[in-house]
Amino acid sequence: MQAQLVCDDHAAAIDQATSRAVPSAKEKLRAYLNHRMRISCDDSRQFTGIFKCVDNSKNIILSDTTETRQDSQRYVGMIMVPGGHIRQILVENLEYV
Amino acid sequence: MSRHQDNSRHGAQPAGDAELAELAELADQQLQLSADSYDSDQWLDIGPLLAQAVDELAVGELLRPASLTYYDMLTSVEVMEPRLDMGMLSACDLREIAKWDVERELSLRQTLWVVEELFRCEITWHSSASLLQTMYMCNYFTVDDVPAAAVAGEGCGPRDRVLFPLVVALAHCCRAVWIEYLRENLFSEEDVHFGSQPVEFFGHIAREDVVRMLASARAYLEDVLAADGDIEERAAAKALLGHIELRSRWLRVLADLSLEYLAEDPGALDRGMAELAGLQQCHRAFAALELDPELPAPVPGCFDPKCMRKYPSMAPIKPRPLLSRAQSHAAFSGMLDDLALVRHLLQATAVESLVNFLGSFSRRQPTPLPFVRSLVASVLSSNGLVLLREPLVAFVQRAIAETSGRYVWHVIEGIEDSAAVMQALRRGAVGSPVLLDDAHAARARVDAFSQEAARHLVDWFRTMCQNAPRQRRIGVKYLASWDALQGDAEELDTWLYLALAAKRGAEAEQEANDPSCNPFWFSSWVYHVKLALIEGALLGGVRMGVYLDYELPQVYGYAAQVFQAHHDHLDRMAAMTAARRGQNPALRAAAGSPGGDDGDDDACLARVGRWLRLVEAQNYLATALWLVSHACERLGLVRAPWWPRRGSAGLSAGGALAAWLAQEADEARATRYALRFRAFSRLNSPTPLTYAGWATTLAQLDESLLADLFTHAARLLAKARDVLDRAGREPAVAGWDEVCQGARYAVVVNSVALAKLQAAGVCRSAAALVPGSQAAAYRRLLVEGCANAEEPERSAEQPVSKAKAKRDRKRRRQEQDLALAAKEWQAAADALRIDASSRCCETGGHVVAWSQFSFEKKKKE
Repeated sequence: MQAQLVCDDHAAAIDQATSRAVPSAKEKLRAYLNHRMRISCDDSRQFTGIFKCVDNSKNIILSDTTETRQDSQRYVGMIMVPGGHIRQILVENLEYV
Repeated sequence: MSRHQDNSRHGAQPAGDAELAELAELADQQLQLSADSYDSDQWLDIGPLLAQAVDELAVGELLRPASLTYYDMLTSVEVMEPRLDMGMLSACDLREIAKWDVERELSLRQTLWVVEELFRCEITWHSSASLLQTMYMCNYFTVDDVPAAAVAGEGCGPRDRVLFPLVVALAHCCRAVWIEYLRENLFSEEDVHFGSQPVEFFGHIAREDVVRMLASARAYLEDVLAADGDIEERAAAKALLGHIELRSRWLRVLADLSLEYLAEDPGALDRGMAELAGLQQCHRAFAALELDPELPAPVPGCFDPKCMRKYPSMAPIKPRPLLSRAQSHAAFSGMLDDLALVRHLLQATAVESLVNFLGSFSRRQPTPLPFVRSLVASVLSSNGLVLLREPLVAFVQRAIAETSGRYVWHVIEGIEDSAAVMQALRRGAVGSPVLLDDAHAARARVDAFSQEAARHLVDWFRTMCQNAPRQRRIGVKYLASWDALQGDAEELDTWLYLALAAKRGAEAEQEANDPSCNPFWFSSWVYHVKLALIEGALLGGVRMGVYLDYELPQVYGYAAQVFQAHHDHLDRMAAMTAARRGQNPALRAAAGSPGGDDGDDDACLARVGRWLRLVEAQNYLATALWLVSHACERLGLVRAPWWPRRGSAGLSAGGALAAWLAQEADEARATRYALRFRAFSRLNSPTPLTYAGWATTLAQLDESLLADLFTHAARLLAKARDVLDRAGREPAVAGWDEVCQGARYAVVVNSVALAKLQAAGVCRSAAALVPGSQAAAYRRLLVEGCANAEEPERSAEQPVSKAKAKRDRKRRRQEQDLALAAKEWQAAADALRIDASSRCCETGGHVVAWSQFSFEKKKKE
């Protein structure tokens, strides 16, 4: 009986620990740092670069970035895309990497 | 991975048709992948996740890897910010871009508009703008290829027959300039914006084809003028003919004055110069033509100000508006004038002339355009040759011989010669037999020293071709290396003295270190150049306005010290050369030894004498300006940071002022002084005074009356003018007049200012007749009186003894008397009602590196 109680306590603790282990959105997003990201901007440009940083205004820093518009492509290096101008944000699907 | 395995499997066996088809399919797929490395399935939309995640972030919290620092973030370019984002296009930009049509047929008026705009672009580019801000904006300039009909001269309209030939010719001109830019005489951002854009300039079209295209364009326009056509089109054709003439000549001049051309055939310089003279004449006539502003007709979408979006860009370029048409012609004319200087440079025979030329070239105002500076630097030294003709070592040996005399060179040259010459050497000046081993070692050591000195000398010369801030910055840096070179030269001189005199022992060594016995041939020259560098650095600072007004007495004080040292040194050099004049006549003929015909003793003495007089005059001038700036500071006309502006809020706010005065303690002033002279303090000689030494000098000056300071300064200026006038009357080498002109101008304008001041009775006023130490005490009293005015009075309730009260009363009475005297002195200084100002003299296209003081009556408030 005593042994059963100890087991139950463990089960509760394990439940609590596992529920805590569910990653928050912030942690999920952290997992995408240093992965390739593609951002579509208001003016129909796309920026493809390495996701480096984000703040609470959704401003995003990409490094080693290439700018693409309908007819041309150019290298622009490290850029900061203001959150207000982001139309769509894609990240490389980790399952395919 | 499985695909790679399949491929390797197929590679091992003969491939069938089906397998080949499969391989082709795979190759196609790989091509698609290279165009976009991820297809749509490989991208995951994380919009909702991002929205949720940023809600969890606090204000200011960043989600970032540890490797990304704040400094890295600051280097990022903000997208959609018009000032930073070069690729951002507004609706207006898009409309403008849509108007561009390369196939559009142009009228002559439209062609003229494009050509005029391109001329503005070209000159703006020469004035340090980026290609992206200028020529690359023109869509005709950046077309992938020129239509074949235009190259063949077979097109039918003005676009193919006139515009493209002119655009290609312009590109070839730019190409010639760009090749010069790449010779590493210029610095990115400071002189030229190199950028990372591709630079082709229609290099695939041969120069002969360009000349032919221009000739075809000229014929086309002449046909238009001959026919009866529209008046405005004919006017445009006439203007375009002017452009073609100008472009053809400019292209020829650029080719003729290119370094390769000059190096290949230096004798062709005259031809190039004749071509340049023709171009100048042609340009003057063309610029004088008044072009009706309504005549050129704009071509929509032809110029794309947002062209930067097409090229890789790490950071935005500082905006740079295009020069106007008039400004462009003025800048082009200035550039042609500066190019004519290359002839003077190449024709300089004496090193002294070269130094004079470079001195005035470095002070030209406005600064010559980067292309000219680069060309001058290239001609000066390239491929181990100076002025395209003389090896570096031979040049530096000539430079030494020009100032130190030829005596030592006779000896060294004689060493290598036959036994007969050795006999002559033994009989001659040295007096004792020279050991043959020592003799060969002497030659080797002198050559090694010359190699080292050549590097330093050429670096100095090339620095004078750089932009003004760099000239001073790098000039100050070189001082330390010249100081070290002086040490090497002294060692060589001591060794040479012992070896050539064949003396040994302690007594001989003592003699070798004694300047009265050992002439120190090489170190004398190094010290002379080092002093010239210090003078250049100090006066360069004045020219660029890096010193504040209150620092001028310190700077001129040190300048006077340097000029005095230089004067004494040149005096010694002159005595040294004179003492050995005419000795060793039996050695080698003048030809072939360093110095050549110009290197004989009389020429050397004349050269040293000229330097001596210039330095003497500058010594007087520096001392006079030191006294004037010191007197101005004492009168309160030049405000030091520790003197609050009179009538400012600082005076009434007692607490703040007290804190200010405490901050500006002696220690702070000493630190500031040490920082100002830190580059010079590291030198072995002449080192500037320490702050304590400077304070002692000031205290001595303070004993003099202001009236005496002004009078003495006026006398010194008169002496300087006298010396310069005498120097000007003597026969001199090329460039000497320009060197004297600046100093003479500074002497004259400051003499006039002082004469006016004395005529106004300033020197007789009560303020000017108070010794400086007393005046300084008055000033401090006044300032501290204001500072303490708002300090709380001592409480009246505190008990005070009778004796102490009596002492206090006495002290207060003395203070009141002193304060009264101070107020009277201040009132007398105020009654002078003069304003002093100093600025750098400017005359005849040169900035003279001396202050020009002016004293004017204060305007009534």
